[in-house]
Amino acid sequence: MNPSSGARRGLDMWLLQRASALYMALFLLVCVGCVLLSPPFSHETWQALFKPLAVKVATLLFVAALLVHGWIGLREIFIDYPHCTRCLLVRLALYFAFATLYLACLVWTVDILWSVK
Amino acid sequence: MALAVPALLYVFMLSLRSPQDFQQVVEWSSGFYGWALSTVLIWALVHHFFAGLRHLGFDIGWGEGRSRARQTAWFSLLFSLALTALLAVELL
Repeated sequence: MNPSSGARRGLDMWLLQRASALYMALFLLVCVGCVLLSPPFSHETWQALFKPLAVKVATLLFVAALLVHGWIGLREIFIDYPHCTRCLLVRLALYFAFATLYLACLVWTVDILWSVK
Repeated sequence: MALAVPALLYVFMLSLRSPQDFQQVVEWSSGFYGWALSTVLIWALVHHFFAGLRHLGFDIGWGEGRSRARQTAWFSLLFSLALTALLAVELL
């Protein structure tokens, strides 16, 4: 397969997929614990939760892990699925579309989190 | 799930932006469509979570045998369904 189609980086992607999964699993367990300990959410308590810098950073890392994880999963699908004569072009177009969308999501998340003051 | 990320970020933004927007999210998610969509998303997430744990197990060599792999496959499928049902009822 042509290397520019994204193949031959499988082991890095495999490891990154596991690392992001582990971080997300731990983050979600902490989240579930927090929600179980203090369930009734009002806007004030919800907003207060995201005021500390550590929470902002941990949440941003979660979203980054989510986007990386989603990206790698999509990449697997895009490598496997377009069966056509112009596959490379279709695959690169899909990479481009999702890379743009997900990078935008990451920047957006920074804005969402850092608007909480 | 890949396409739900931007939508969920939008909801996250609304929930933090102002008390009015927070209220809007609460009202919307407590309606029937909000409940149904939340349930589907929770199922996708919970199923992915437990199926993923299963694969992390395979990576460290746990549960690779045919019968054990079958058992954990059924377990993750049914446990995810049960947990989703529980959460769906809780959210009603």
